[in-house]
Amino acid sequence: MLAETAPVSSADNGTQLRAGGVVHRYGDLTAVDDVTLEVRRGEVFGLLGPNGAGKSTLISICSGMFEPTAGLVTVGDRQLSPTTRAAKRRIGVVPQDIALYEKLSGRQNLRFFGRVYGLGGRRLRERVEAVLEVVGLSDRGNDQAGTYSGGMQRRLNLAAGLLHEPELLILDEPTVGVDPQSRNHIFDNVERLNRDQGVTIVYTTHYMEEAERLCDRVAIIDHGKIVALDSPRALIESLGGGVIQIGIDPAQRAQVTESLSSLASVQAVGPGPDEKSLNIEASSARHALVDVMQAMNAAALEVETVRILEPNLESVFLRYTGRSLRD
Amino acid sequence: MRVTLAFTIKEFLLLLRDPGGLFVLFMMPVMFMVVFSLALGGLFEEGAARGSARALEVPVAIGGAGEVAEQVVEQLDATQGLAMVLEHDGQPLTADQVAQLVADGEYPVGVVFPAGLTALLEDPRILTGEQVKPLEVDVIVDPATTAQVTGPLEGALSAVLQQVVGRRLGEAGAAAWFEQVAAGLPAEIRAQLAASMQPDGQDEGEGALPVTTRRRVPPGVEREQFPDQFQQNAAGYTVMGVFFIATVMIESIFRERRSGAMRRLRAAPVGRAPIVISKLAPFYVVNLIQIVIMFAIARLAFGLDLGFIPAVVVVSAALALVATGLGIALAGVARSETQGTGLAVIVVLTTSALGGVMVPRFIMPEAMQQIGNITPQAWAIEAYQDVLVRGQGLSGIWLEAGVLLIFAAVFTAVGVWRFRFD
Ligand SMILES: Nc1ncnc2c1ncn2[C@@H]1O[C@H](COP(=O)(O)OP(=O)(O)OP(=O)(O)O)[C@@H](O)[C@H]1O
Ligand SMILES: [Mg+2]
Repeated sequence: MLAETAPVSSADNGTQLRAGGVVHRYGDLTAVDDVTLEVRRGEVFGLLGPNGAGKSTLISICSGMFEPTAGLVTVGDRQLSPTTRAAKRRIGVVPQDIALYEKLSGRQNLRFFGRVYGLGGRRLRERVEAVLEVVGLSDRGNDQAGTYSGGMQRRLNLAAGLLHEPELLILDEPTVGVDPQSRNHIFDNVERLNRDQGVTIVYTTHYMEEAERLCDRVAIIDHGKIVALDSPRALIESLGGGVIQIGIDPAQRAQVTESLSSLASVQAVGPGPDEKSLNIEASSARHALVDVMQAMNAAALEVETVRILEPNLESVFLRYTGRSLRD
Repeated sequence: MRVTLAFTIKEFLLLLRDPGGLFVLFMMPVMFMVVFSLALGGLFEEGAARGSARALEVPVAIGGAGEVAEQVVEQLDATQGLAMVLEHDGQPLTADQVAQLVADGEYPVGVVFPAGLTALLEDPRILTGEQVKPLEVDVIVDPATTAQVTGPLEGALSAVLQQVVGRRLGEAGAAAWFEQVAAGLPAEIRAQLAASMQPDGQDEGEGALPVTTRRRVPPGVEREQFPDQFQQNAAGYTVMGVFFIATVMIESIFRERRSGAMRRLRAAPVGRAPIVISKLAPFYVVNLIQIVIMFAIARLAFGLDLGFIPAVVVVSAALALVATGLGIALAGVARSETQGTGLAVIVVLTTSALGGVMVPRFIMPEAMQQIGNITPQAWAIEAYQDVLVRGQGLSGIWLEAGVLLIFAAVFTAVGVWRFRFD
């Protein structure tokens, strides 16, 4: 379930996007740190991580916006780089920031981006109307994009990525800061594109519910590294009945591990996200908690923090990063 | 191709969303042209006459005119604001050389004395009052200069000729004639000349002097037309106005970077070329419209004669390439929008001044004239004046147009090289 154990087969036609050993540095800062992953054709692949984890950097590279410091990206059977047009044409991109001309109307924006992706004539007109319909902006298409609400701008931003009917759609936090109505709209669009048209989707988010509901597989990324990669269900099941994460004095680590491992209600004691914490797996975290606290007390060991990780993605995330997604 | 078209359409739509900005761009050079022509025309005249800037250097060919011509030259040279140039490479100037120097634009005006001038004045027929065929002193004028520049020389020449010749002929009737010819001169010069006149001799009929002055353009320069302030400024401020496109381009490029749209474009299957071209093409068209407006106003409101239109078109086409090239180069060099537009204003104003937009270059010190040659404005103004004022055709402007194209190529290359998406 860790990145290293993720399947890294040679590119077969079941692989839509492959990143191999991708590293990206901004000066001294390593934003993406040796990431290798494969996105399968037709799946919805989630990229989950806190602010600054390197999500945008990674998927900008995966959409050909810039060259990584090291590593290789392939789309289908073609290598991707900022200058490879054939590979880029297969990808639809919805950047995290609104990438539109505010002074132009919705239709003018879409016509422009459509032409940039090689559409023209009747097909361009049809596609513009089709995507406006999809995102529910047909009646506002002639208004300046700058006059749209935040949610409507997001929807137009999405529409611009759909114009050329890409086989791979890369979305960078498409629902961030959006009212529930627009959010559901975008959400439905993505689901339908995947289900009805078989579009492969890479979806960046820090909303657990979205990842859980939408994604076939999720990669959890932190500090530029992939720390876990599997289906949401498998990730959650890995928590078993739940995990108790306790903060301890690092000096007492061995002692704590030893005294807790022997408890009947505890299944396993493993390292937490840092040296000051331990993950305690239990068939029922709530029941085990009492035993854990008693054992610690009895041995006169200090407990600095306690967290119960319910079996959900949020907990998976906490387990691997020690941080909450929404900080 | 479709992609380039897409970008160009988009850029035009964006420009049209900001009609205020375009209006400023179109009106600014017009206002400059009108205001400077009306308000500063007089100032310019006085300044040149007073010689406040620098003495007007005048090449002179004495040839066989003899001692009388030498006296005239000596007095002219002593006149404030005038400096006579008699030699070229250590040799006395010939009439042809003077004409050539003026034709080449080295000097705005020159003087050629007629052979036999001294001898004529010693002709006994003159002394007995018989009619003789008068001789003419040629004032060779570059049609591209203004009357404000050559006026003082012409006035002083007439006055000094009158004085020297009159003295030889007994001063008869000279004073009245002097009043007439010197009337147009600034008060200071008139007083100076009057003071040096000998205060004797009164009326003896009309001053039918056997020597007159005649204004000519150098041979080979086709049209005898003297630019007024509007003609001077139409070329100058058109050239300057065109360069202000740089500020608009910089704003547009930085705004696009900020908008985030550039990120999407980087993911799109397009090369740099269409993006860069799209940043040039619409502004190029705006420049051409700007030039049409300027010349249309100069033509309709101030009667500017445009000369050979295809030549004006060629110069304008090359000029607009330089201006858009400068815009994209500055956008590439600047680190922020504010820095870029500020830089553009400084660069455009400085090079325009050096290039002779505000003040004709021939009244600048030599060193400044040399520096001016590295500005595209100097070449563009020169080219326009070749057509508008000197009446030349395509053959007269190919050199300047060529130099402008080199400027355009260098600027554009820098701009493309430094072009950044974000
Ligand atoms: N252009 C840049 N120059 C320098 N550093 C950058 C640049 N872009 C991103 N970074 C840094 O790289 C790291 C990763 O940024 P990135 O935008 O990829 O994170 P993210 O996971 O998308 O975060 P968020 O959830 O906030 O969008 C951050 O520390 C960020 O500060
Ligand atoms: Mg991001």
